[in-house]
Amino acid sequence: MLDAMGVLQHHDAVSGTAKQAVANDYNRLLSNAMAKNNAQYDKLIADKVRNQFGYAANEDWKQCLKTNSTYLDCPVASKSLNESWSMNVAVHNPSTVDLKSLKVAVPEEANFDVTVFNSTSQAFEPTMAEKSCYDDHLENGEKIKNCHMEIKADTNAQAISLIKLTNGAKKEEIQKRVIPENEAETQFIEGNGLKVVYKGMDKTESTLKFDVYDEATGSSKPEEFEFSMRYYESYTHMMNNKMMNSGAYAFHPMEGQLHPYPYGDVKEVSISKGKYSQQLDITFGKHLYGEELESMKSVVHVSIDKDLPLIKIDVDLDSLPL
Amino acid sequence: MTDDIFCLFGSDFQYKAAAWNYRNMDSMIDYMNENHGDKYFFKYSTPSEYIDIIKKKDIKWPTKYDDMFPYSSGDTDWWTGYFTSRANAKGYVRRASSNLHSSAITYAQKVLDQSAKDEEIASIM
Repeated sequence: MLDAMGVLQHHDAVSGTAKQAVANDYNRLLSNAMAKNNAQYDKLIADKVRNQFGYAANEDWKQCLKTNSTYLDCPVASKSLNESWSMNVAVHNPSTVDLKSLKVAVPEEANFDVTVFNSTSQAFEPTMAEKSCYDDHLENGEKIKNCHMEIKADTNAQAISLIKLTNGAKKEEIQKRVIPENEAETQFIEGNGLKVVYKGMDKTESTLKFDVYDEATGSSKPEEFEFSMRYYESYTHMMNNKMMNSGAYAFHPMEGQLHPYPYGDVKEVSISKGKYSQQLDITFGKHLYGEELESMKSVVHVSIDKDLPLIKIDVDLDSLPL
Repeated sequence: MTDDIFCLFGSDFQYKAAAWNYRNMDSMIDYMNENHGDKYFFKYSTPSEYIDIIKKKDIKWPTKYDDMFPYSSGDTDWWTGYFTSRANAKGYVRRASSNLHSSAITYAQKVLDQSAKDEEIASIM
């Protein structure tokens, strides 16, 4: 892992400026290193769970990430949702901050009862858990639902928590509400001492505007912030017909394009407010030469972190028009 | 700030025929020492050797406040593309970085664990 990560620090590696074949090889290096490393890492996680919770899994542990991932990357993807079963999820927190909440990716049809292992009572106990979904847009125009469960469970710094997902609970999903344009300014999400008010969009600039109120400052005057997505056209021409240009040129903005293009128009702003989690979803549609590209959408999710005083902006960016 | 000058040689692709580079550098060094040896002394060096010499002179350095980024190779020719290029590859590096960090912590905890068996530690190291 150290060797692979060392190589990836080269100024044409992580920068993404190598030729395609070389870029592919960098990813191969990382993939091989992680596969080797995970065999060892998974084994130690299994040891820790056995020692800490007295629980020995009847299958090998499989990994799945908390962020930048969908349930298709997770072991739950291989389970039939028509059968009854339960699955234990060990959550490793390698950071130095105690965490009070966690997130797992789940299928849309999944309705799980969630319990969390309490080390004092040595038993799984009910906890707060909520599922929310949004549309992922595929290039062929299809949509799939991408869902996550936000779960109230303590995972202390450099420690592991254990939760249990049991299939077959009552269907429950946080309902989204599309915000009509005239209702901007009255819509907000709040939590962890922060309040984020959606102030609407600057149409000429395709810029989203927000006001943030922070209890910690004690001030009733908001901080303003704006968010927009922009792109540059890049310099992609080949040196000759045979040779592919290196990424240093392919990802170079076109000379003379002084200002970036806005990604597109806001198609929809929706808000979801559950008992435990709240989120604003802003869907951008892409226009090219005045024509709407139906298959291209990007969704910007705005939420407030449960643990740190942070406003999180997750962007699911579809490809840019060529 | 001092009389020491650090002169960098080379760039991308400059050492494909390295022998020629060194022959040229040898000539330059010899010429300067022969003809201007009363004022200058030229030699091959390394960053650490240079820094050691500077450090001995106990200089008070000025603070630099501006930023060297983003690079540009012309008035409107910014090298900003690589901040966002190959987003999936960049994401993969971050994933690997998390993987390295979280596994390394787990390995360290195992090594520090007094009840860990020798063969368990050997398999990590």
